[in-house]
Amino acid sequence: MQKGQSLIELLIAIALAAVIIPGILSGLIASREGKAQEGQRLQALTYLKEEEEAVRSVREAGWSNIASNNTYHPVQGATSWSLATGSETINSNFTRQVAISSVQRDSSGNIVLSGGVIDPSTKLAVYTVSWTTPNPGSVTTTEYLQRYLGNTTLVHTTQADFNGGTFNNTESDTTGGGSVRLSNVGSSSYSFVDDYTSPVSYTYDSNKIEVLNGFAELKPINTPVSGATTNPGFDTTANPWVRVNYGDGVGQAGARIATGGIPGAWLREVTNKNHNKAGGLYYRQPTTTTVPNVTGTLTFNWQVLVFNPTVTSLHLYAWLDTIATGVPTTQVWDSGNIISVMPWSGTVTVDVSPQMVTAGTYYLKIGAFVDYDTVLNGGPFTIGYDNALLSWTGNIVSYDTTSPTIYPIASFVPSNVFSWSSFTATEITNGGSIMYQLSDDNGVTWKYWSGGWQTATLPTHYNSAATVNQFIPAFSAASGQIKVRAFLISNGAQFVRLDKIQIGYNGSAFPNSGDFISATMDAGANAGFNNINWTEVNTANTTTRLQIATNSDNATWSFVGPDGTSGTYFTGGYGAINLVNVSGRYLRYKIYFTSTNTDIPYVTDLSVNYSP
Amino acid sequence: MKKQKGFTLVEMLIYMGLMAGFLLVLTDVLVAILDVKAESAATSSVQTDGRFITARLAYDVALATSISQPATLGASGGTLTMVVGGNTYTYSLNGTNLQLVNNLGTNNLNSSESQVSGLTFQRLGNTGGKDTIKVTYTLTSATTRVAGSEVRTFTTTVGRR
Repeated sequence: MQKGQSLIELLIAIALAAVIIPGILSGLIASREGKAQEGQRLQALTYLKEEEEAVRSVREAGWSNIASNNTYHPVQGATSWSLATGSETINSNFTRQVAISSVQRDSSGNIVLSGGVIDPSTKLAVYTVSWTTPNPGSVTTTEYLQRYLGNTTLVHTTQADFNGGTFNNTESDTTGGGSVRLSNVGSSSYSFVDDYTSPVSYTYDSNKIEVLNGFAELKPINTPVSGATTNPGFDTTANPWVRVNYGDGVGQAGARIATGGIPGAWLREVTNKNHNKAGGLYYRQPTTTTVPNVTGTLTFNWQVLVFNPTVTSLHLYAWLDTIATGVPTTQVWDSGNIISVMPWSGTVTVDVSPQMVTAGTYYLKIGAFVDYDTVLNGGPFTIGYDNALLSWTGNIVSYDTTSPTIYPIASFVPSNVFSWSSFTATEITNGGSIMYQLSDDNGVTWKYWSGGWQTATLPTHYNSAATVNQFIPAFSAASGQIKVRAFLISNGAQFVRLDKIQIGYNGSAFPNSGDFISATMDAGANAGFNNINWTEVNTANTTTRLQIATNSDNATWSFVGPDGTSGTYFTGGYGAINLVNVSGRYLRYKIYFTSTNTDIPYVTDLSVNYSP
Repeated sequence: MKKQKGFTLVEMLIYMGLMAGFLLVLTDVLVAILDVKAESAATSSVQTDGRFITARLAYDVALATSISQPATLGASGGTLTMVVGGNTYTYSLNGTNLQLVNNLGTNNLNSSESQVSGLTFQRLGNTGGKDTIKVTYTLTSATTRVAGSEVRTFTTTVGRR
């Protein structure tokens, strides 16, 4: 039998070859490709190394350059590196990029993937260089970038720290070892004036008090009084008229003539023929006014019965003097120069009120004065008066003596009053007095000072302006309102007038807001600002907000909030500073305070953490 | 007549044919192995030297306290001069060799298996900061393969620390 390979053996050989040959082949191919891959990998690593160095250099130029999470690639400038967004292709084969992302840290400062707080001073950079030929591949390195130098902190905590800033309705204070707060001063300048200009704004008895020309005053009560000279018609006698001569003696004479008057008797005054002389005469009669500012009226008739020229001048006069004899002084009527005989005049009426301002005795004088020619004889002259009467009417003024009161209908309600500080009144009392009560409940109860502000129960429970001024700081300002009742006290003759009252108070205007701009912090060089922390004291009625501004020119200050725009604010005592829009060498922060009432918001300590 | 045993002519022809085919394949494989050896020597020399030069530059520049050449930011040239540990290090091309001259003497950074050309250093960075040096050079293998020498251009950047 011929020996040979069986079919079974052949099959086994083929099967073994099928298993072994592919393995050998793939090993051969892999070793050949591995050589090419290794070449690409080495080149990729050099590009990766370059990218790392470039990013490090860019970070060195400014932390803000890598503060924004994105994918970048390095760009070689004339002298330095910069980053541009996106990836780049090198030699048509390599793709290079670096992905920068935020890093979170837990409360212990350890880097965590989630659940921590973003650390603005640390960034994760993932560098990748990939290639497509001969077979796709890539090299990747991961790096945590931190600021070049250690962090440091600007701290403002003392009053001196804050005093370096600019206050706008704010002030520094010693609270909490130094603080800045919404201003609490300036309120001393506040005052309220009630000047009694509008009668309808007050409650008072209009029979006793009037509000007139800016005064609250006792209303005058008039009692009419009048008087007059007597015997105007000389009907039976010339008494009590008394004749007085003055000037040169020119034969002055006078008498009552029984007939020829209007009607009946009249008073005749004569001078003789003469020359180179000047003289006059008058009849007088006193009347006494008992009140000032009377209305006085003089009435009479007159005539010139005999007139003989030649004469320089002849005048008839009426005077109203306060002295009895001598040359009359206060002329109230003048006939003008007489050049002929004159019949009885009609009734002459003269208002002599202007001459009778003060109360006293007035002498009515009716007469004539002749200035004779220096050479030629003139005269005699005869003149006459009839129905000569000086009458006056006036009022005796008195004032209510029941201490009437006046107070405004509406309480004075200043905005945000802290306390009352002063009370002054402009009074014209003429010997009388003005007393006051205060009310903090719109007049429901009135208070006066008697070792304390007590509810008035007796009519005399009131105080002088000086007393009120002294103790008004103790008067409650809790209700935020005040009303003043004035008592005008007179004995009947004293004209008591209240011009105005002025109430000083400590308060603040509404709405109450202010801001504070800190002194400039110089980081010494371009710095990254990480976060801002502060301690604030607020109530439900106040707010405290912050913004910061940075720059490199120490001149341009635009304040921004956490998103890097001016529309947002840091609140609540902590803020992470947006690095994209906030970088530079110089920093200022600005605190905005508001208060809707008397509450004062404070910031006692503030720190800005930054990395140079 | 006793039949004598032996190969027939046909058997001989078949045998020789098979033998010739086998030898042909064996020769091919041998030649291929020699090619791969040359290829391997060429790429290996370039990669090894490239890796070393890159690492050495990175190491030295990282330690450098100052760089005097290229003199200014943005400047570039074929010579890198810097101070490392108080000693002046100068990298430059001498023919086809990358030479380092320092206190220890003059040494080639590349091996005899490769040649260096197109060496440039460019200084980049920030004023007052830590400079980076962008390095570009080309390595050519001394070993020549069937396809010629292995040539690779390296571009990387190393920085001071």
